This record gives sequence, C-alpha cells and structure tokens, in this order.
Amino acid sequence: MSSSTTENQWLFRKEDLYRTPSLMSGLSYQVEKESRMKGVTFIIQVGMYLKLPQLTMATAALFFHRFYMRHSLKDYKFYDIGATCIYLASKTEESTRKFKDVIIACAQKAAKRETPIEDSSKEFRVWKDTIIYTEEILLEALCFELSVEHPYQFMLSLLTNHYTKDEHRARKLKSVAWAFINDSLRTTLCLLYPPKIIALAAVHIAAKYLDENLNECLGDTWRELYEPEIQDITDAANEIMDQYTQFPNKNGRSLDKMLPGSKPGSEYQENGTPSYGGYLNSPAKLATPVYSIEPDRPSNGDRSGAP
Amino acid sequence: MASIRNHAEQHNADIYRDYKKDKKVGEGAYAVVYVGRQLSTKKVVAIKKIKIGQFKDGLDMSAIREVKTLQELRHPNVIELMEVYFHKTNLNLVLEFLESDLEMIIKDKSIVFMPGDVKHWMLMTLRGLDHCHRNWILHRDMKPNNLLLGRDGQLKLADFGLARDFGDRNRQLTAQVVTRWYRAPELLFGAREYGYGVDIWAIGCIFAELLLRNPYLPGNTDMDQLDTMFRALGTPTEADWPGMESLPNYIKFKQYPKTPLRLLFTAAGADTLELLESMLIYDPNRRISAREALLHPYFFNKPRPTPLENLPKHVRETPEAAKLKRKAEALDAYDLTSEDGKRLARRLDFTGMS
Repeated sequence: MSSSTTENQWLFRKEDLYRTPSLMSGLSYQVEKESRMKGVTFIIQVGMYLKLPQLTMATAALFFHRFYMRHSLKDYKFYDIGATCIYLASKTEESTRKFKDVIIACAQKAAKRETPIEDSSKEFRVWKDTIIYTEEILLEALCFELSVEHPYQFMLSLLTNHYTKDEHRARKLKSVAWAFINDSLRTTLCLLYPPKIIALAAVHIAAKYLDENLNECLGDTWRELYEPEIQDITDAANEIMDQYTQFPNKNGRSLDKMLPGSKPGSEYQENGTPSYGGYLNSPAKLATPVYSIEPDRPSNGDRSGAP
Repeated sequence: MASIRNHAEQHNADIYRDYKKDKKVGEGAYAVVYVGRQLSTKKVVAIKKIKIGQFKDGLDMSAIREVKTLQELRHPNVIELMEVYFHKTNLNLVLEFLESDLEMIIKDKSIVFMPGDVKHWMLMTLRGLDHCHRNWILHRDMKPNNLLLGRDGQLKLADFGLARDFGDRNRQLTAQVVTRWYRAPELLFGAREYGYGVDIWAIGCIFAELLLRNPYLPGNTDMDQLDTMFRALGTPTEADWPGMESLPNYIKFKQYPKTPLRLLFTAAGADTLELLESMLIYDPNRRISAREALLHPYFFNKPRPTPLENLPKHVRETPEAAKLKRKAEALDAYDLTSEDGKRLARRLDFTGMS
C-alpha cells in the first residue's frame, strides 16, 4: 500500500500500470516496460551528447513516463516523445540548447549513426516538424505541470546535513546513491513513489553496496525517515534492483557508458570521485541481489499479490 | 473498463469551452491579453493568448517560464494562474483579472497619496517578492505596471515572462532584463551572476516613484541610465562596491558626489528614507533582502498601513466602459439560454447586481 496521501495526480498504484493506454490498446506489459526503458535510454544518450545537466535529463524522463500514462505507445513512437521531452525539459530547466542541435542529436542517436545529419536534409525537417507538433500534445498530456521534483535534492541534503562520518565516505555514498537514482529513471518508479521515497531507497541500496550502516552514520534521522516508510522504501529499492537482474547484460553495458558522464551539476564531483560504474557492473554484486525478489510481485507476472 | 486515455484532451476541451474572451485589452510582443469570463462561475478573468504558431522553435521560453513559475508560486500577492489550455495553435493562460495597476494610480494626479497608502503598497509588493525569493525565483521585471491592483485593493505581482530560478552559482544569467529605469547597476555593468538584489533595486525605484509621483531614475539609454543614477546617488567607488570594476561592461564614470536622499524626498520620514536607502545600495551583496525589508521599522512605525478597503483606487468607469459592461451582461444571459437551445431568456438573473 502506498503511503502517499498527496493529491498528486501523477502518483499511481501498481495496478494502474496494468491498465495504461498502451496496455489498453493491446500491447503487453513487458513491451511497454522495455519501450519505456529504451525511451529513457535514448533521452539520456541525447542528453549526454548535448551535455545537458542530469536534472534536465531526469525531468525529460519524468515527462516521458507521465506522457505514456495518458497516451499509447501505439499512437506515439517513443523516439518522437523522447525527443520532445528532452526539448521541453531543456526549456523548463533553463538549460536550453539550439533547436537545431537538439534535432541533430535526436536524429543521430535514434538512427544510431556515426555522423550528424545535415540541417537541409528531409530527415531534419521531419524531426523538426514532429517535435513542434508533439510539443503541444505533450504539454496537454502533462496538464502543463512543468514544475517537477526529483530525488536528487533530498538525497544530497540528507547526506550533506546528517552524515556523521568523514567527508570522503559521505561523497562516496552520495555518488553511489546518485547513480542508483539515475538508474531508476528508466523504470516507472517515479509514477509510483514520491521523490523522497526514491531518494531513501537509493541511499539504502547504496549503503548496502558500500557496507555502510545507516543506523550508525545517519543515526536517529535515518530511523525516523526509514521506519515509517519501510514498506515503500523496500518496494522501491527492489524495483531499482530489478533492472540488474532482469536485463543484466543489456543494462550492464549501457550503465558503463552512462555512469561516468552522468554527474554534471552535482556537488560532489570536484574532488576526484571514484568511478562508480564498477560497483554496479561487478558480477559478484549483481549475482547477489540486495533484496530477495518476492515471488508474488506483480512485475513477475502474478498480479494477485498486488497490494 | 474505462481507459485514462484522452483524459487530458478532454480536460483541455472542457476548459476551453468554459472561457469566453470579450475584449482585447493589451498586446505585447508575444501575447495578446483579453478580458473574458469563466462561463460556469461568471467570474471575470484575464486571458493571455500566446501565439505559439509563429515561433519556429516551438513553445516560447517566456511562456514556459511564466507557466512554470506561476504554478510554483501561490500567494495572495502574486497573480493567480487559474488554467492553461490550447486552442488551435495558441496557448492560453487564464489569469485572475485585476482592474488597474500601480502605474495608473501613480499617473492619476487626481489621487493624493497618504504615507500609509505607500506603506501598504510597499508591504504587499515585498510580501509577494519575498515569496518569490524564498522559492528561489527572480521576477526580473519589477515595475509599477506589473504590480496589479484588484478592486479590493490587493496588490499582486504579475508578468512572470522573464522570471527564472536562481541560486545556482554555476549558471550564467543574462544581464538584459528589467525595464531600464528599474534596472540595477550590476545589470547595467553586464553582470552575469546576480541574485535577489536586482528585484530589490527595482522595488527601491518604485518606492521612490511612489514618493515622488514621477519616475525616479528615467534614463534614456543604458549609458544615460548609469549617469542619471550616479547623479542622483553619487558615483560608487570600489570601496562602496567591491568587485564593481571587474564587471564585464564596467566603465569609469565622472565622480558625482553623494547627495543625501532627504534633499529630494523632503516630505518623507527618517525610517522611510532609511529603508529606501538600503534598497538602493550599490553593492548587491549589501543591499537589503525582501525578508529583511519586511522587518524594517518603517513597517512597524506610525502611520499604520492604510486598510485595504481605503486604499486609493483608479476609477475608470467611463461611459464607454459602462456600456461594455452592460453588453457583457446581456451576452451572459444569451449564452445561458443558447446552451439550452432557447432563444429567449426565461429566467432573470439578479446575482450580478448589487
């Protein structure tokens, strides 16, 4: 049971993910899940090419997930929506790029080509028209809610203000938690839990990876935050970890590429942050999930156990 | 089972049908403003129509900034964004309608300002601005005609087309903001990193304008603006404002002496001038913040701020306006019945009368 009592129209129950527009139009749960992952991976690739701040990419991903709670993947291709989400997020997050550059980056990454397209080409025009046309549909689907929150800020302020051990370890914990939040973007987690829960889940898994005892290094703050929400945090943490067990090779590869570059705008990057791509890809770590996957989880195909 | 598909489109269409534009009241570079009505509540609203079709780069940044900031800011002294909808290729922002603005009041020389009036307007302006700043939003276009006044006397900050978030030191901002007469010295010197001080400077100029009933620093060009400013407040030295000389567009000016404010503002009290002076400090780091200004003795000393209902209002009920109002009411009655497919009003509605 989700503990969130906010009136947020963008928080859904797990059951709702089984009656999304895409599923209602005949696609399978698995296809939608994979398309969402591919879409956000595309957003991140384009975002990195354009050197967009991580928060802008996170906003684009959030827009993307919300859009497909209103429209079907059958009606709108995820490349088109992904591109439009990036363009809109770059504007709402005050990190605008030239429209031309956005179009070229999208065209190149979508077609996985090596060289950029010409801005006089037909392909360029088609992308341009698509983004302009889709922007309106996207805004409408988002009900013009452009102001969004992410887990990053909560995580950083928690670990900055309450971590009691040395700064080096705090930085390490921050960077690993940051990476897990990045990875959560490709899942529908942001439709299920508020940013605070996702932040706590990311801190929780990060601590497991680094063998940190949060009860020790965050003390009462952690207990007060964690205990009342234990069910949701555990759930959210499992949801993040699912990616590594369900698609280990696929995502293991892209993780390697995306992690080292995925930290612009963060505050811990100045002092030689260790490359943490390795934590997530180390086979030993992946072989032992942080949480055992409960057999009745809806994402494993059995919906009867859904709360 | 009903799908949630198309819910948003339906929602948009419902909103669109609920609003009716009556009359164009203004046209800006990228938008046209209408006065209109919400049919379901008969509430008078302002509808800002943004022509997005003409922008080759999709939805304009100003529109995005305005929608985003107004969603984040809900406050009695900030204009309320009631709805947003698309119609054809235009984006429409439905805003609460306010009769007049501070500029009209200042220009209406038939009105005499009492010190308590100015105090209450300043109080409301600062409350609205403090709310923006606490949410890390800079308004960046504070001027009297963006301070709207409702029939009940409430003052509300409007026009957030230039507003944006601040606080991130790594980000460069543009210095080309704020209407010239209200533009802070750091902007005129081309600063790319600035903060709440730019809005406070503008409020200082508005405060002075309320006291003088004339624009305080009316420069003709950016260069003349600096000259006018330095003539009035003295040319700052590097000691007054550390870092000034390293600003991108810094130019050395003639050294004008600093003249005390009380020579120009002869009628103003000592607390008034002290607050005004702290808003017009050259060094943005030493300039007062909205929060500090609200705690300034000026607001606690006598005279008390004039009660809302007694604040001067700009009366604009010309015969033409009255005719328009009657026409609008007649239209109202027609709309109600035409929805039922009937030609004549069967029921008389007296709710609009007082």
